[in-house]
Amino acid sequence: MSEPGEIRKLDEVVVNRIAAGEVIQRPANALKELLENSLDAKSTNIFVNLKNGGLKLLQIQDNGTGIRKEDLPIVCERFTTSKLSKFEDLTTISTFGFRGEALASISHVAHLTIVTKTSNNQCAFKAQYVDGQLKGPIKPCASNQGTQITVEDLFYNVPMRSKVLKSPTEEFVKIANVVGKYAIHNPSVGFVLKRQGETVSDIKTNANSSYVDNIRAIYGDSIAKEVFEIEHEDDILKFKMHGFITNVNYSTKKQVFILFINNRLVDSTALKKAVEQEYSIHLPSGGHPFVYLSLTLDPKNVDVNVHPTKHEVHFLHEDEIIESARKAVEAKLLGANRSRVFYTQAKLPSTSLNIEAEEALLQKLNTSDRKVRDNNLVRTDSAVQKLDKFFSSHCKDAEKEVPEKVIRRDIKLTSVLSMRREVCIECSLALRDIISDSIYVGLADIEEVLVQHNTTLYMLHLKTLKEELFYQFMLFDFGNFAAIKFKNPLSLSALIDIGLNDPDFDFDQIGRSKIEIKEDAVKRLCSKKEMLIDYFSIEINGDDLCTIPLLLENYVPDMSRLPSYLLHLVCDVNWKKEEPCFRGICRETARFYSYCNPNDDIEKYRWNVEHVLYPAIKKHLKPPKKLANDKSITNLIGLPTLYRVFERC
Amino acid sequence: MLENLRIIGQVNAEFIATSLVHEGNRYLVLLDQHAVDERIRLERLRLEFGNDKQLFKRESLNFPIKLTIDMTEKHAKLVMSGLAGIHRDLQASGILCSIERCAEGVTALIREAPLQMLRKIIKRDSYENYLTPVKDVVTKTVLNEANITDRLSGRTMLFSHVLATEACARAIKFGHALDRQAMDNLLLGLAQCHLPFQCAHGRPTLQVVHYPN
Repeated sequence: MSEPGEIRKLDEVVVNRIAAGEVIQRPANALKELLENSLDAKSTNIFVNLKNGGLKLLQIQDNGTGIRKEDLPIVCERFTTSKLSKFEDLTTISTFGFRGEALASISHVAHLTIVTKTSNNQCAFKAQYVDGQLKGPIKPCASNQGTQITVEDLFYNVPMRSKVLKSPTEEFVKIANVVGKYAIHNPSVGFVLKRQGETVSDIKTNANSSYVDNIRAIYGDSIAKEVFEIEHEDDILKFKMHGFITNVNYSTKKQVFILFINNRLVDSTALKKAVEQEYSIHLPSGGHPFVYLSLTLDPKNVDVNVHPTKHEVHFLHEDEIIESARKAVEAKLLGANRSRVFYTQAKLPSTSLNIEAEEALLQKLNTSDRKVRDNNLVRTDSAVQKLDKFFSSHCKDAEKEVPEKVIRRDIKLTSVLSMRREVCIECSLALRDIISDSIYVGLADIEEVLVQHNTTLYMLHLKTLKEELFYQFMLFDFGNFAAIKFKNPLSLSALIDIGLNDPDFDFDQIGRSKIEIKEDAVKRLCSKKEMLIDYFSIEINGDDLCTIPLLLENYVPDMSRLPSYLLHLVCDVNWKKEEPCFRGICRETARFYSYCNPNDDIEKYRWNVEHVLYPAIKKHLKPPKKLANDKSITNLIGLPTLYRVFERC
Repeated sequence: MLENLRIIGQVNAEFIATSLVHEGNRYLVLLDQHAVDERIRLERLRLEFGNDKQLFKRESLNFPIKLTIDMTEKHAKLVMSGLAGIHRDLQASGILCSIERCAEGVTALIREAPLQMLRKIIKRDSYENYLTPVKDVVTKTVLNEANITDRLSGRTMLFSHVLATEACARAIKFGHALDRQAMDNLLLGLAQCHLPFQCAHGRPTLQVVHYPN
């Protein structure tokens, strides 16, 4: 802890030269003076305590050097200071205070108590002041190193002023503003601002934190993560600039411009205007940046004594320095934009979908917007009828394309009918509405499709939708398939062989050799060939596979999966009972048809999805309710949100 | 980042939807087609004209333009007391005018402007149209002095304003269908911009939406 400076009376000449008007205009001014005293005393922790916005009580406790006991009697007289002794010193001022007016002014308009302890003294001393003079004797007391200054009943003897001062809340905001700015500028010093009676402090920064930490603590994370550091030095004009400013992607309605010149919180309208101008080219109208700048100028070029509250400073070469600073800001804004692009952009508000919201949305769709349909939903019978009609229309298309199948068979198998009914019951009308009324935007990924419904964008997971679509085709076209015919029939045993040797096929038939499995498989398929050709258009002639069903016009499944499809048919389908058997065949066929080979030509695939698959999904799919929950359909963002983001020029 | 955007398609004839994978996360990136084109045009114009100092030469107008700016007496007084600042700002933009009090507020008589610049950049026909940006800038500067607008006049204000207006006027509008080639070109152009994330007026060009895997 360094030695406290000796305090002495200023020379009369100096007193007259320093023309200062009112120093203390409101609690925030008083606090600023006291804060600067504490910082001058090299404190590392400053604690501010308030009551009634500082009007009732304004207390500041630091751990600085303290005040020597011998100085206590004169510390509150006007023009006493430890920081300046002759007028020439004004030109080399690097401390905050210099006029010796702060405490004096405060003691004239409030009850002032000082408790202070220096490192040389065993105990602390307490002194009370009125009108610049000591009131009563100096008393020894217990206290920590540093100074505690208590200002009570500010302006008690100036009724006009206390009337003018607005609400305590407003005074508090101004004080918080001052403390916050000093906290940002002095990251090595810990600041605490607390209102008496409150358990949580309004501002708290740690000693030895960083600039960005403190910007985050005081102005919030949204600003802290958009700021970057700016440093600039000009040898000719002899000044240095350091600070943190937001990038051009950030803008806020409320302007924040914090300027310290030679560590003093000041205003410079000219500099502020210049910086704002630089931003005004980039920010939307009405938008402002966050700017914190600290300028270090040659002390002899700065006139700090322009304003009684030392708020406005003038300096030599003002225009040139401002222009130099503006250029530095300009270069920073243009240069830094690309380097941190991603970080900034990724943090934009994102609409990640939660399932509850989605469900609620669908629920809402079902209950409010779709009252009529809601009724239909209850009467399941009518829904079924509607779906039948729907599929007959699909069937008409098929007839056109496949003239040899003129008569559509009416399937009366109970198992098939019940599986169809299951699909209809499971179908979500809200999802159906979204999909059937959607506009295809494009393929976002190999299995992801972006679509627009009304004013909302949805991401659809293609794989599930495809499999569901083909499964439904299998059920509703049961026994009525056209066929895809192989030019040269394929040997079943050769196909099964390939399938068995495919590393992808999970070979879990423990205890059986591949030969056995193969023989069983061929036997099983051949024994069911009447059923396979009749219901599924899978034609087996002798030992050869001749056709597979045509589920969708212009759509051929990826043949590399044919061997494993056959194996799945044999091994995973329960052939003993009717319903599980049909269900298994339909499911396995759907999986086979929905498989998408990542090695396919992407352009061809893109065309296929846009012109064959998606139109079919849009037209025919009855989406089961579970799709809303398994992320197969994700609500991404609404156009109205986008319009708000982008606005119009 | 912009180089890694993969085009999905056009949404509503307004936005270009693209996808982006970054550090295992997937994003949908939506670009405002108008804002993107505007930004590209702005930077091209700036490149084309920004370094031609000759362009900013002040020239006398054959017919000075008179402009009346309505405001209250209080504001007009503010303007008159800040005339020096107004003239300095306007001259930085290459505009010379005289400002006087009148019954409605103040009148500005514009005498000189950088005509060459206006003619070269603005591709429109009438004399009146060339001078619209000049009138805008004078009005804004005056209102700014009276603290009515929050937009500040800049030393390159007129130039910026002319470029932005021109870029905006000629950029692709909403409702304009784009084929894949056109979308590709826009993305390529944007990737070459200095400030690709805002349009000529400072509004964003794109919005990122994170979506779950």
